[in-house]
Amino acid sequence: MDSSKYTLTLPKYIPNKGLSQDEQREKEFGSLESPEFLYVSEHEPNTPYLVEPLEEPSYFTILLTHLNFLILIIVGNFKDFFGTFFDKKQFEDVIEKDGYAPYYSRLESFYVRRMKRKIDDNFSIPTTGVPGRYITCYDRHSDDYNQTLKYTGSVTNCLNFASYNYLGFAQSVGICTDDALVTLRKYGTGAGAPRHQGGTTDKHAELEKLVAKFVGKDDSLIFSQGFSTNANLFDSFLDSECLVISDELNHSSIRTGLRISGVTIKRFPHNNMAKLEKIIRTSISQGLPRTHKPWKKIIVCVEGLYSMEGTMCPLPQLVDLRDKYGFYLFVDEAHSIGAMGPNGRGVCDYFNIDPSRIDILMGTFTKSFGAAGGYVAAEQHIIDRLRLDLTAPVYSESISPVIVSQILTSMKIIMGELNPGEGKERIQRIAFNSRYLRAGLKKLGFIAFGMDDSPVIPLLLYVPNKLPAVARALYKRGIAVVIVGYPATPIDSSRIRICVSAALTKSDLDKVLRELDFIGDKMYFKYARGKHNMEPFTDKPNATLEAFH
Amino acid sequence: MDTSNVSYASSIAAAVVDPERELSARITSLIDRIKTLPGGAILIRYIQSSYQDDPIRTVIEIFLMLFAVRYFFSKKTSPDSKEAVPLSEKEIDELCKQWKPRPLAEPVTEAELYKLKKIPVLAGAVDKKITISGENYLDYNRQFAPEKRYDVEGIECPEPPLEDVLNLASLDFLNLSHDPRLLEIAANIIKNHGVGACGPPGFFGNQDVHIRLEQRLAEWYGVDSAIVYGQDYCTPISILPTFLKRGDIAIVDAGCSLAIQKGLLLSRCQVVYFEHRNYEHLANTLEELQEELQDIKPLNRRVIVSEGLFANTGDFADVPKLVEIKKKYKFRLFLDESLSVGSIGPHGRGVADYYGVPASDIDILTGSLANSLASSGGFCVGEKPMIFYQRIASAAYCFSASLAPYSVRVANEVIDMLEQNEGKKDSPLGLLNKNSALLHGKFSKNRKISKYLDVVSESGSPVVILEFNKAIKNKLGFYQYYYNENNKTAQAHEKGMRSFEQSGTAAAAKPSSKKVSESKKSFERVDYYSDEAVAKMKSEASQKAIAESKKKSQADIHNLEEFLISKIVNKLMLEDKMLIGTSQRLLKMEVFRVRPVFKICLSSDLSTKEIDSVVEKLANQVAGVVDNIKCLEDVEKLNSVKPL
Repeated sequence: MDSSKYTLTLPKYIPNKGLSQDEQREKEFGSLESPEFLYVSEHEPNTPYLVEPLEEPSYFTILLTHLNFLILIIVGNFKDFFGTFFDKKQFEDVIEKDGYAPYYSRLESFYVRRMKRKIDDNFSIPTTGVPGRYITCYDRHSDDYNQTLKYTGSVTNCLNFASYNYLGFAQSVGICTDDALVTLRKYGTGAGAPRHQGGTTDKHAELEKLVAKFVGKDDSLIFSQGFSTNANLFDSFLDSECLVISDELNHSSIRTGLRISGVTIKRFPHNNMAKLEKIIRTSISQGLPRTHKPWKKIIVCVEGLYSMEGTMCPLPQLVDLRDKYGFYLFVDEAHSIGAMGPNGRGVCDYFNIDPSRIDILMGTFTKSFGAAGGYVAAEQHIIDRLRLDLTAPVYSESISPVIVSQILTSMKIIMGELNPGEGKERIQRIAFNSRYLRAGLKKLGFIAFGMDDSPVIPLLLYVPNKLPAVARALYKRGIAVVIVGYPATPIDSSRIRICVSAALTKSDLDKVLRELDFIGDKMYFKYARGKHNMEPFTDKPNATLEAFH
Repeated sequence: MDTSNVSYASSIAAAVVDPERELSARITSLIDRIKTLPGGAILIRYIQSSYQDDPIRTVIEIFLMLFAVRYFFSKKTSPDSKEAVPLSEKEIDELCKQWKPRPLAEPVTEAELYKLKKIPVLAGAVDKKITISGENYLDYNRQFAPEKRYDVEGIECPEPPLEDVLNLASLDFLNLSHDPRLLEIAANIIKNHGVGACGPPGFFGNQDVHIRLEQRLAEWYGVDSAIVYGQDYCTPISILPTFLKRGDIAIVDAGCSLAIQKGLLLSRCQVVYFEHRNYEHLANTLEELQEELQDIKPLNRRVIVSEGLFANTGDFADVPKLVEIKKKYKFRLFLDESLSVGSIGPHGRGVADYYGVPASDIDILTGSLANSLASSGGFCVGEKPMIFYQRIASAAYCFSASLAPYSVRVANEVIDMLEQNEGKKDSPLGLLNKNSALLHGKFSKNRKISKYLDVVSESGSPVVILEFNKAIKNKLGFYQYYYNENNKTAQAHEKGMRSFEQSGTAAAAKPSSKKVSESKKSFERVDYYSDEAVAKMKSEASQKAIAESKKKSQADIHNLEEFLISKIVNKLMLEDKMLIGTSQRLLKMEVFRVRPVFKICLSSDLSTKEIDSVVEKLANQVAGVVDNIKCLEDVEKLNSVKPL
């Protein structure tokens, strides 16, 4: 390879150049290959939702994983320790310099420098164009173990199993884009002011009403960033005499919000309802620590669909507990809204539970609607109070009208108000795709966490060394997946995360199954020992998984 | 080898004879086998020699082992359970049944209702001239049903929209959001990239446009690298805790905005305040801290936190002074330029640019892309390691979806435009600065205004900030400033500020003995047992009780002052067709002092005529409202804000 031509600046590349409108459409959203490939995801009524036991790999794998980390920690710290004395130039970022402390300490950044940096070529891959069915990635190359990554000038079109594009609304052709362009011409590029200071247009008001209708609540509030929605929500109605019982795997944004509010936090093991009930009972009976005053409010915070686990909250049990003890329930539907349920209306729809049994429903527009931002929906009097007390509408920018328009159109399609039938098809395609891919992976002998219907499929690799190897092998074969390791996951469960989209066709899924089958054999990560074969489709015995027979 | 064979043979023989001998024989054989391993012989010799003739050691080690086993199997007790009251299951059931939580959110009271009413909903775009929609938030609020409107024939009809209102509340100072060049570019990107980025930057959400904007920002500021965030408000909230942890220290200007306050709250570092723009106070505080800081090993991270253009007061931080101080005491400087980017400085890079301080002198510089740059999101520029670490450790970057690609591209284009127009007098930036100087000048010269209002902001600021002057505040019973009485941090801050102010004034004016003697003189002897005195005392006590019950909390009075301002702004909108902003700060969230203000946001294409009319109309409305009220009760009696 001639590496002298590699550049540090991004090469110019125009996506979709020379593609016809139809080709572009197909690249962003594959057309349905057969009406057979549709499925309705729904929790079967009257069957209790079982929290699946997570499958365990062999002890050898666990031993190997820990050994890997042990070697990393020992060698890394050894190198760090002597490096700070003898190779100061290499370590100048973590040692004191002319009387200033480093921005980050040696220990703080250990995993970033020693582990993430080594596999950095798999993170933050620059992309261009629409993150639809295919994603166009700029190829990179490094000669110095990812200290600097250079662009080779070429691009790879990967099948997209990485983006949060559940319903395939990341498109540049179609009614959503047309509406967005019209809005852009009429409303301009930005909203120009905070929501309460003249940054609220009729589009915003319309979306707030539509979101409320979509999730089945009285009213809602919308924000320009999903993270900020959670991070700035809790301080408006919680204080130190309130208690939040939070699932241990809740997203960082919820944890940030809770920390800002100064509320007392207790955590319960992921989806463990028995432990949760125990915590609720002791908390209510014991009251505040020391004074034993009763808690002002108790709020249970869970997520609808956990983005790293693929599990869902056991909502039927949660609402029963709520009725029994009278605490408030907060559900973050960032990943489940749009993607789950027969009508795409999230966990309530999936479990067929009345939304009035949940106090605050929060969600984002990034994932299923191909846009950005977040919402909070609740009863009218709660939203009125939040509208006055939340900091974001007063201090932060308003969500841009173009994005509002994208959400409005895509939500109307899901609801069937626009292009009747299209929304249903998208919802049923993602349900089919999720179940089909998961069943295939399990049949091939991989360990995949999570619910059968979940569009997030974490495929367990355990041994951290396999992360970059698998990601690179898949990238070479034109498949983009996300890899996640410690500290984002527990130390012994490094994984690749596959995000299924309605934009993918069945042959795309077959391709990824074939490639993973091959790589899985070569790299030994088919850990399952045959215990967890799932039935692909309960109502469709004829649907076949012929790809790997 | 020979010996092991022999012992092995003897062990077979012994097995028949005696179990005790069998055991010892087996142990011997095991030891022999270990000896065959490399290094085994050394290990066996070591163990043998350490336990031989040392029974105490053996006993102690057995105890240690037992303790370890016990510890391993013991129940884990949390600190909570120590002070827990033991209760039976039945009692717990009972307590659970009795427990009634407070309502999740307090209902909105009548006194606060105006806040909901005054939120303007625009029909159509945010532009220089806007249309206020006939609908507003109360129309879909069931708790407070709106007054129904009927037309001539008695049929219910919506309020007609208010058209052609001059927008003086938008932060799009350069009025670029409808620029044809930007619209064209944004449309192009939407046609190629779609609307959303569909993922966090680490996971395929990092598009070419993002990388180009980051490079452009770094180049524009002349620093190593830059990072782009999805929202401006969240940028400082996320960056401050990334670099400030427990044990670190931050020295903060007491006029900073809420985003910085929240960021510091999250960071859990030691926070010290200095009086707003009082750099002598800053230097003195740092001098006092020196002794304490000298002993800290290893060095902790030390940061001076300030805003460039203060969002709450519209005045400038003295950046050269800050840089001088920070260099002297080896602190880093965090500067939030959210409002000033694109609106201040010869190149439009903010207050540092205005003073000619290179951006490389400011360690952490954040800003907003949403205001002058007509886009959305925030950014941070600075040294390479600082930006590098944010990409993994800053929550709002790492765990949040990337900014929409078209917004990113628009911001990039605005930077190009600013660079192309540099130094031109008729460029949007030049016109904005001219307008700011003009309006500030007009306000300070206008006698009618100065009778009621003080100009808080500095000339050059794109937001003109006005507050009621002392005379009016005293007349109406408003406080000079408000603070959050229910928050411990706010209380502590207030206490600190007061003691600082007192020490300042005490040093200025020495207490004279004359005053003391005067006060002694005024002390009169009263016959406490006379009927008159008793009656007087009684009436005084009852008056006091009434006054006590009528006494309003800081929050109530703050609410009333905000209400009065909103009332004037509302009248200005309805009668003169001008929408201006108000402070609307949330008292219960703030740590610092809060002052209700009027905010007039300028834009580059305001004509001189429009500026004249703003001054005149505002003066008339303020006079009209304030002249008719005499005390706090009158403010309460005012009609509520009319939505439209």
